[in-house]
Amino acid sequence: MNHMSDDETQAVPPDQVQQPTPLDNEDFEKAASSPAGAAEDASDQIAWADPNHAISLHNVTHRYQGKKALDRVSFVVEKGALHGFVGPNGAGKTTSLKLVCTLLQPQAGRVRVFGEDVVDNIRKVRTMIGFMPDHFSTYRQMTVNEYLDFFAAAYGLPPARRIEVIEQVLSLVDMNHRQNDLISGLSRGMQQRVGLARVLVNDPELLLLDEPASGLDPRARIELMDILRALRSMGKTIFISSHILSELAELCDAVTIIDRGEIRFSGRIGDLLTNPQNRHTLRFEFAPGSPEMREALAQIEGVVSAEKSGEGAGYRVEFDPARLDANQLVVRVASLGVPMVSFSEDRRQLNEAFMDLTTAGVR
Amino acid sequence: MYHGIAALLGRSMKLDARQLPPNLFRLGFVLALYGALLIAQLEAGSFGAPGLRFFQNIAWLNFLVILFSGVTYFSTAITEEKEEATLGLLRMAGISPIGILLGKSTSRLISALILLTIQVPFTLLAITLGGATLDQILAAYVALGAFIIFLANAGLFSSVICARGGTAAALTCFWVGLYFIMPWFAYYISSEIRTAGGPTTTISNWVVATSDLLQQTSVASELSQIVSSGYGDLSDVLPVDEDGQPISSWSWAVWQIRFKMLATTQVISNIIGGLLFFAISWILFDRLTRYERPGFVAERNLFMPIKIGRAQRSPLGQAWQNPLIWKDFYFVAGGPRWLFFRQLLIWIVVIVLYFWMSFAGAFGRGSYFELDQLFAIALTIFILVLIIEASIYSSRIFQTELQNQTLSALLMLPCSVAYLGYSKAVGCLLGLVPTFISIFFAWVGILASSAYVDRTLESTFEVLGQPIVWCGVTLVVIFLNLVTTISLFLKWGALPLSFVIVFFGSSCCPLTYILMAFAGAANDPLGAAAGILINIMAMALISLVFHAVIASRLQALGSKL
Repeated sequence: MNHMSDDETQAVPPDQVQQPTPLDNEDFEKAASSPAGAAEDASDQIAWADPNHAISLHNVTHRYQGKKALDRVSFVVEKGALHGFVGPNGAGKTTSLKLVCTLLQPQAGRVRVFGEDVVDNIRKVRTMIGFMPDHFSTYRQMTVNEYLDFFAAAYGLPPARRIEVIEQVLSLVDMNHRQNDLISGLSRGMQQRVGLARVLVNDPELLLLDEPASGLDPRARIELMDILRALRSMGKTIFISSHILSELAELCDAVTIIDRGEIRFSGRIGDLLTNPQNRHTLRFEFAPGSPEMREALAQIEGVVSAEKSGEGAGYRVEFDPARLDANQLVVRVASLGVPMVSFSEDRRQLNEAFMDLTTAGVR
Repeated sequence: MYHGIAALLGRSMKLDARQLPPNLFRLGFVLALYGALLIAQLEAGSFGAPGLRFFQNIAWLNFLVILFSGVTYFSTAITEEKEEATLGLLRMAGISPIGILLGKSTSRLISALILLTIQVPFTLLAITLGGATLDQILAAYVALGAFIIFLANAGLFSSVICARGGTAAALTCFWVGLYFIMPWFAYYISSEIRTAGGPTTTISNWVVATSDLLQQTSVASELSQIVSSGYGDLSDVLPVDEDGQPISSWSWAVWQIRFKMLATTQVISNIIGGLLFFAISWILFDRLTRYERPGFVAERNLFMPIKIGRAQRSPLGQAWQNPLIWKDFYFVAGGPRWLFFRQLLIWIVVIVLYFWMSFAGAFGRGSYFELDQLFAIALTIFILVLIIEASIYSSRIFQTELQNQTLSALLMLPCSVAYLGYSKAVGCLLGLVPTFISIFFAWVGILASSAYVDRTLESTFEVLGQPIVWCGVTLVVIFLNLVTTISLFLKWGALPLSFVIVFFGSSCCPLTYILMAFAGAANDPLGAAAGILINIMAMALISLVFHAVIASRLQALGSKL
C-alpha cells in the first residue's frame, strides 16, 4: 500500500496550510482538465492528518477485479460540516464510503478519520463513526428497544447508560412510542429512523449516511432532513451520499462531486452554485405593462448581459461582482423609474452544476 | 395463460442455469459420483460385487440429498415471492394462479429430475463393475423420481400456506415425517390385527388392506428392496421365442414387463400424493395469497413474547455484556424458554417411543418398564438431536446476518472478526447446553438404573478412550465447519452438500485412513492415546483452516453489502 507517512504531511509549512476548506474552484477546474496532476497540486497544500478534518482521502485508488472504482481520489470533509457526496451510479460513492467506514481497505493512498488512519487505527476509527448503509440493516425479529440495546452493548455501554442513551436517540428520531414494536412491523420511514437511531447509540462524531432518504415519502424525507439539521447543530459531522440534489443544496455546507472514480468538485456549495466565470445574476420582475427594459439594464455599468426571462416583464441580469455588487445593482435598477415587483438572486441549481460536471451514461 | 407459464418457467430455468450456486451444487454431485466410484474401486479388493456397492452408495446418497435439500429447495417456491412481495406483480402480468404454481414449482422439479436423470449413464457403470442389473438401476431412479414429485408438491403446498420460507420448510418436514412414519404405523396396526387372529370384520379387513398398502408407499423401504442383491431378476419371467430361447431383453415385450415392474405402489402412490398436494395448492392459492403482506414477516418464536409489563423494557431483558452471545442464544438458538420446551418435547417423545417399543415387544416379551432401556433410548436420541441442532446452528449462524443484511453493521463494531465469529459461536453453543444436560442426565440414568454401575462406568470410559470414537467426533466437527463455510457461499443446500462432501470426502481422503490406522491401535494404551491426540490435533488444525476461510469470506461479504 502506498501510505504517505505522517512526517510528510507535517512537513507542509504552517503558512501554506490551507484552512480546512477543501479544493477551491480554481483547483477544481485544473483537476477537471488534468485530474491527477491538478488534484495533486492542490492536495499538496492540505494537512491530510489534521484532526480537524473529519474525513480526508489522499490519492486513494481502489480497483475491483482490475477495474478502477476510485482513481487517485483526494478530498477532505471539515469537522462539524454537513457534507454532501454526489455522483452518478457507479461513480465510486459507495466504495469511498466503505473505505471511510473501514469495510474496505484502500489499495493505494490513505484514508483518515479525524486524523486517524483507517487501516492503522481501525478500532479507534470505528468508535468515532456511525455508518448507515443504503439498505435496511436491521434484525427484523427484534423490537426497536432490543435492537438498539444490542448495538449499544456492542459498543461497550454499561446497562444503566444504555437505557438513557436509547431514550435519547429514540426521542431524537421521534420513535419513543414505538420502542416495543417489532422492527418488521414498522414502515419504511420508521425503519430508516431506527437505522439512524442505531448509528447514534455510540455517540459517533462522524455520521456516514448512504442514500438515507431513498424510498421515503415526502413527509418522511422532510422529517429526516430536520433530524440531520438537529444533529449538525449538536456538532456532528455528517457525510451524506444522496441523489436528491435539491435537498442536498438546501441542507449541505459543502459538496463533493465524483464521477467515474474521479473527484470533479469538492468545496463549499456556494462556490459550486456560482457561475463558472464568477459572474452573478439577479432576476428582476417589473409591473405588467412596463416598457421594454433590456437596453436600459444592459447599459448599467458592471452589467455583463441582460435578457428577457419568461412570458411577463422579467429579466435576468448578469453582472461582474468585482465592478458592481448586488445592492448597487438593485439601487440602479430602481432608479430607472419603472415599478419593480420583485428581485431575486438567480443562482445555478445543484442539478445544473452536477450535469455540467459529470459525464452522461453509466459505467 | 400458456404464454405466462412458459415465460415464468423459462425465466426460472434461465436463472437456475446462470446462477453459480446451483451449478456448484451440481458440480458437488458429480464429485460425489466420482467419490462413489473411487470407494467402489477401493473396496473392490475387500468385497465382492463392487458394482452393487457403487449402485447402493449412489442410490442412498440420492435419497439423502433429495430428502435434505428438497425440503428447503421446494418449500421456498412461493414464499420467496411472498417475502419479496412480488406475487402481485406476477398477477398484474396476467399470470393465473396455476401459471404461477407451474412456473415457480415445475422449474425446480425439472431441475431436480434433470439432476437425477443425468446420473443414469454414470450409474450404468455399476453393471460393468458387476453385481447390479439394468432393472435395478431403472427401478431405483423411477422410485426416487416419484419421491421427488411427492416432495416438490408437498413443498409447494407448504409454501402456498406459509408466509415464510423457514415455516414452509418446517411444515414440509412434518409432511415428510408423516410420509415415513405412516408406513411404520401401518405395519404395527396390521401386525397387531394379524397377531390377534386376523381381520374378522369388514372394517378390520379394510384397515389391514389399507395398512398393507401404506407399508408399500415409503421410498426408503422400496429403495432398500431395490438395492438388495437379486432384485428385478427377469430371467424367470422373460418370454421365450419359437425356439424356446428367451427373447432379447431390449424387445418391446420385455419393456412391457419392465414398465409393470417399475410402476410399483410406491411410485404410483407418491405421484398421486404429489398431484393431490398440487391440486390443493391450486385450490387454496388465490384465497391464501390474495392479501399480500409486503416486506418481511417477523420470525420470532412463540416463546419470545413481544408484549411486556410496564416495568420491563424488553421481554428478553437487557442484552448481556457480550451482546453477540445474547443475540445468537435468543435469535438463532431460540432462547431459554424455547430450549426448555424443546427438551421437554423430546423427553415426551422418548418416553412415548419407549412405551411403544416396549409394548410392541422390541425388547422381548415381559421386559416392560426397564429404566436402563429408557435411558439408553434417550441417550441415543439426544446424541442425534445434538448433532442435528449443531448442524442447524452451523448453517444459520451467519445466514441470519446475510438475510437481515446486518453483516456490515457487525463488521463495523470495534472488535475483530474472530471475536465476532467466536462470540456468535458461543451463543449457539449455549443453545446446545440443554441437550448436553439431557445427555448427561440420560447417562446418569443408565448408571443409576444399571445393576452393574462399575461395569457401566468402565465401559463409558472405554468408549471415550477409543480413537475411532474421536475419529467420528473429528468428522462431525469438520462437517459443522464445512456447513458454516458453505452457508457463506450458497443460499441453500449447505447441509446436504456438506453431508455429501464429508460422506465421500472422508472415504477418499488419506487423512481418514491415517486416523483409522491409529484407531486400530485401540488395545494398546499408548497407541490409543496417540490416536486420540492425532485426532484432536487434526480437528484443531482443520478447524483453524476453516475459521480462516470463514473470516476472509465474512470480510468480503461485509464489504459487498
